[in-house]
Amino acid sequence: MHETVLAQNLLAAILAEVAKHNAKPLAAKISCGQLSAVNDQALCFAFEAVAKDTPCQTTKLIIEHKPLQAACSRCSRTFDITLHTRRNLSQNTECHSERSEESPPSMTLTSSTKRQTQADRQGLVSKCPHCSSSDFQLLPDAPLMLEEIEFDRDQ
Amino acid sequence: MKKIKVAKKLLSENDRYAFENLVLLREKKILCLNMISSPGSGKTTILFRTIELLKDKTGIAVIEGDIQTDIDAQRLKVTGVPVIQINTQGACHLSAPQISDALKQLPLTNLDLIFIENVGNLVCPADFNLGEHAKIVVLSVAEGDDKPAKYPSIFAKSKALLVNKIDLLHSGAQIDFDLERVKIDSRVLNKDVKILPLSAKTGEGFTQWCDWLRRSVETLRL
Repeated sequence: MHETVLAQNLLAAILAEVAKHNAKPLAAKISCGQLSAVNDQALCFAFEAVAKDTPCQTTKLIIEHKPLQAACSRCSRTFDITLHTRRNLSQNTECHSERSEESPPSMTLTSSTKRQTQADRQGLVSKCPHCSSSDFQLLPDAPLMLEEIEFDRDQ
Repeated sequence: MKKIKVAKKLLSENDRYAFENLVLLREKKILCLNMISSPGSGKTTILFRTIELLKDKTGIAVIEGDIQTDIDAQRLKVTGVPVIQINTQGACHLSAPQISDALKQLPLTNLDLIFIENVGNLVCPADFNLGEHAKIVVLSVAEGDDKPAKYPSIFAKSKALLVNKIDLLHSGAQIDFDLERVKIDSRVLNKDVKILPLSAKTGEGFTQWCDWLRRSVETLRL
């Protein structure tokens, strides 16, 4: 919802590098975690709008979503974790996405739109893949970062 | 063609202000809590009752965030504590520079506890640190028990979860809300989260909530 703020921050960060390198930015790679409220399409749209009539007007955005990680309290190992419910695991195969809420409307017209019955109302499930313990702590989510910029030439 | 590494945080400007705010709050030994929830979950009513219960022995102030109007600030000013209203003019969250300005308008030397009531929104405020010591998420039973699973970010980042309007569950109202499910899902996201069921309407659960606040204020003073 606040992609415009992010796009403005991103534009300023890229323009600062453009001034240093005196070259045209072809692409910019950014990364974020799983818990940031970032929608790729909305961010690209907002960036296009704020970058109009700047050296970034045609800069392509590459957005990498980094996995969420957890540390197991029993075996102390870390692992990538996907947040899903039991119901999604069994029924939501047509619309498998980390961001099922933000998928285009055409994709959500599956069984997931049905009213949940009491039996379906299962909570989040996740276990350590090493020792199967469900006693773990989420690690801090990856922050929003401008990772790298590809310029048209060396300078 | 040339690739260069940048590795710059995109919200670094906000984070810089947030850090300055936190340094100031630590220096003054003021506990600052960022209250986040959907619109209508009862943040303002919770604050009203909390302030009335604590204000005699605790110096409290409120920073109110709303897209428009000062309705909430006017409600809370009745309690007699300082209230600063921030109108975000459409923005979906408060940001750290706004809190920095608000802190300059508050009598910090007289304060022990500052509540920031964020814009009613369960999504965006979770991404913007304000310099607070902790985020507190409020969920009212009428919103449904699937919210921790559907909006994991704020539940993962909050130190305490207030489950409000708990009186509705034993009022005979037809509400599908399984408190156990909320507890289990919240603890998957944050196993140390403090979960406090309460009712701002009847006062149920406020003894535990106010005890938790007093202890948190005391811990900070040590």
